[in-house]
Amino acid sequence: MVIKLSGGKLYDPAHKIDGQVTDLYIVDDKISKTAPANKKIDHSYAIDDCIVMAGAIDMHTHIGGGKVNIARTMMLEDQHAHPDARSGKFRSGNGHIVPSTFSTGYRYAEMGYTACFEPAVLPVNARQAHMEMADTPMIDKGGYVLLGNDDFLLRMIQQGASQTAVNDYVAWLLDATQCIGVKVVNPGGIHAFKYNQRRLDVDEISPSGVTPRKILTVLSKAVHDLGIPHPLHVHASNLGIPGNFESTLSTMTAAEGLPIHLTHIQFHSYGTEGDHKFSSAACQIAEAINNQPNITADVGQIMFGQTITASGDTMMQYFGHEHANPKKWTIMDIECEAGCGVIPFKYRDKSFVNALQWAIGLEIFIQVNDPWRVLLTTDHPNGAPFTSYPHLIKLLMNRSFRNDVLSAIHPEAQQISNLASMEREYSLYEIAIMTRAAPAKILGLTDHGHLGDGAKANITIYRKQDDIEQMFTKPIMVFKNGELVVENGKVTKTVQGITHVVKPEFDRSIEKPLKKYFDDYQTIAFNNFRISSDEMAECIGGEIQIHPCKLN
Amino acid sequence: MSHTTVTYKGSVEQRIDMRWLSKVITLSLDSEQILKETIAIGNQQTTIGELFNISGDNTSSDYVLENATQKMDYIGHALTQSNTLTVMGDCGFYTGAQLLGGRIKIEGNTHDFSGCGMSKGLIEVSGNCGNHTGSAFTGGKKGMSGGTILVHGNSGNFTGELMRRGLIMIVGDIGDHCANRMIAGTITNLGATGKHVGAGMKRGTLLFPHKPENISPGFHDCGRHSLGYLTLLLHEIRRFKSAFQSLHPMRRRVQRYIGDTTVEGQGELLVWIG
Repeated sequence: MVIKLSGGKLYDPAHKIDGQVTDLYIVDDKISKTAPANKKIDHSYAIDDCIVMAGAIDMHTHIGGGKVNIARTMMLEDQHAHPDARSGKFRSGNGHIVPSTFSTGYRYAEMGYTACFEPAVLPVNARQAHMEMADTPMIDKGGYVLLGNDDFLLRMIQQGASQTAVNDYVAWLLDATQCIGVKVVNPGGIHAFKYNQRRLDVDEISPSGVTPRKILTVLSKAVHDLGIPHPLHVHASNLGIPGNFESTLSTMTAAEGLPIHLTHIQFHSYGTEGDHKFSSAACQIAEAINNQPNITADVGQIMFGQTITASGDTMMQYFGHEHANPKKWTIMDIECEAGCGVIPFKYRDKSFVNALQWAIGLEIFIQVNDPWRVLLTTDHPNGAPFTSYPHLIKLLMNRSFRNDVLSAIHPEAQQISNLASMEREYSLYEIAIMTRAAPAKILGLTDHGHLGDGAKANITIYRKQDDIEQMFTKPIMVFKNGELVVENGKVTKTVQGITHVVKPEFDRSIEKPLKKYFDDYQTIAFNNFRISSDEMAECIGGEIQIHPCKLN
Repeated sequence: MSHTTVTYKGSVEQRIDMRWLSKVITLSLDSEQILKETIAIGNQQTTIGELFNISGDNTSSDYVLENATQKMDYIGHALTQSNTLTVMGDCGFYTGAQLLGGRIKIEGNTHDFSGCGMSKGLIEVSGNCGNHTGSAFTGGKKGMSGGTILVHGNSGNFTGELMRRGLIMIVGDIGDHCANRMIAGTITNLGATGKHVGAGMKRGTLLFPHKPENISPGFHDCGRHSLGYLTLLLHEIRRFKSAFQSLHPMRRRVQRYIGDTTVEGQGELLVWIG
């Protein structure tokens, strides 16, 4: 099958193409810049005046795993209010804040997204998370396995185990849970919460006998040594606490110059100035990111309205439970590997704190100079549902619109924020970097996120419109692996995505102490814990694609 | 008075979502057009016209639903102020759910969750109501927040669960867990009341003819009272044509219990004396 896309304006930052009119060919499931010899063109689409980008990649979105299901069950009013009827070959679903699996897949595809990554796969819950993600159609998936609060690792660090042993454990766990990266949530903090501690700073010794800094240093070294393309994915300490920017800056230094990815950094950029003892530290954080090339970040922008926060950070979720709206929340734990807290939340533009959070997120976007190192997320569903991405893109690309929204928020937040004076407007090229090229680069997906020869034919085509929000809400065409799946913002064909994983090499001798640990403490047998690649493909339904690790 | 009659002529085994009827009533839609619209029945699609006839004056705000069955859910969902709906037959789940005004009169029984989440208006049931009458949707934190539910028969368990405001009048008996986690509002009856009345209630008034069994230990007897405001309450209760009109308009002597003190404890359970 050969498809020709003629006359489109390409935005392909990986190849430094900024709005050039070029013809593209899709040969089976791959992109080609030149017409294939000896093959006739089956379909030809004239897309003059249209914008062509690679399929978008959301590298931090909670779409599978235990806490998402808890959030779905808890927000029944959301399910009631947004039913999604079955029609033809499309399955029914519901929900807007935390949509069901099918709705999640359809909504993402309708916005031109072709890959999404679940950032908190609890090792013991990995099988369920993969099953749930396999149930999500249209998009490629992947997960980051949660580490940094599990007993086995903390004991290893506390007992002074060698870096090689930690590396083997990390690699074994990635292999056993079929994930693409390693995430650490509030390093040591969730563990400390179980000892009745309610706060843990980066250089404070936790009940496990190690400091969060040590955990970060060891894990970022492990990820680096193993050659895992995605740097350590860090949810830093003290989320949402005024004055937490200092611990965020400490977290940055804990990596000791190795690559590190700080996630939903907006929630970690708060100062304590002003009458309300709550201020923006976006400037310090952005400056730190600008000065340290080893750091990448995604923002976790909030949007006003009802949402639900679902996080592995039990300590900080418990801290925020009093703000639950509607008043229901849960904190739970499985196997003491990490945590889970689910709290519904309504961000209000007339609330000083919420309004300033909104402004802080945008300030970070605007003040970080390099779009390759600041990614567009709302930490779905914690900041806002992913369906608000087009609105966020408009806020970034249109200063007058941004200032209009700013003028309607809490007046004190307006005064305290520098947002109104910031002139930078993102270009389409930069948006393509943040949503396509940069996530693919950070995750090590060499055949995704660009429009070069041989790339997977994941392509999104937008009709150029004055209203950027409308344009990004409804792409006129989306191709997934060379198949046309979305036309005029509606899914027309259902396809199944794959699961991206990495398989770093490791010494099998780590299995001996692990087996003992499982026999002594875990509720699941060691041999049942591991998810094999065959099981992924045949039982779970998420065929895997292994991405190579860089050998250092 | 002129009215529109909607007659059910089908006999499907599956449940029927009746929210389309509310759309017709509130938006005064053209009946011919609506009959062509599709409706999901189980895993099949059919047209509304296959299952229903619409006849009569289409401009009227008064509607009659004939041959209703207990398979029909969401009858009278979210109707507004100016609408009146009379239902001949039984209703399914969520009858009058999220009612915003108007009147729904049911000549039959209703299933569970009648009037759940309603905020205004009147639901009158000639027969019995199922469980969760006037409560919240499953998972919701606020039940009925205004309006009146009048049941001439009995109501099931969890009547007025999480109720926030409004009046529930049950002529017959009330099942177990009445006013469970009630926030505020009034529930009264003339028959018996089941177990665990008012467990976890914060505020609100329960007015019963007999002391219920198994009152939670969080309730405390405050002795006999003659409450002047009961005359005003009776005035409201007697406004509707029902067996409640047999109560003397000046009656005000009650035994008063307050509770549930495990939460706020500002609710009251009143039992008529004499």
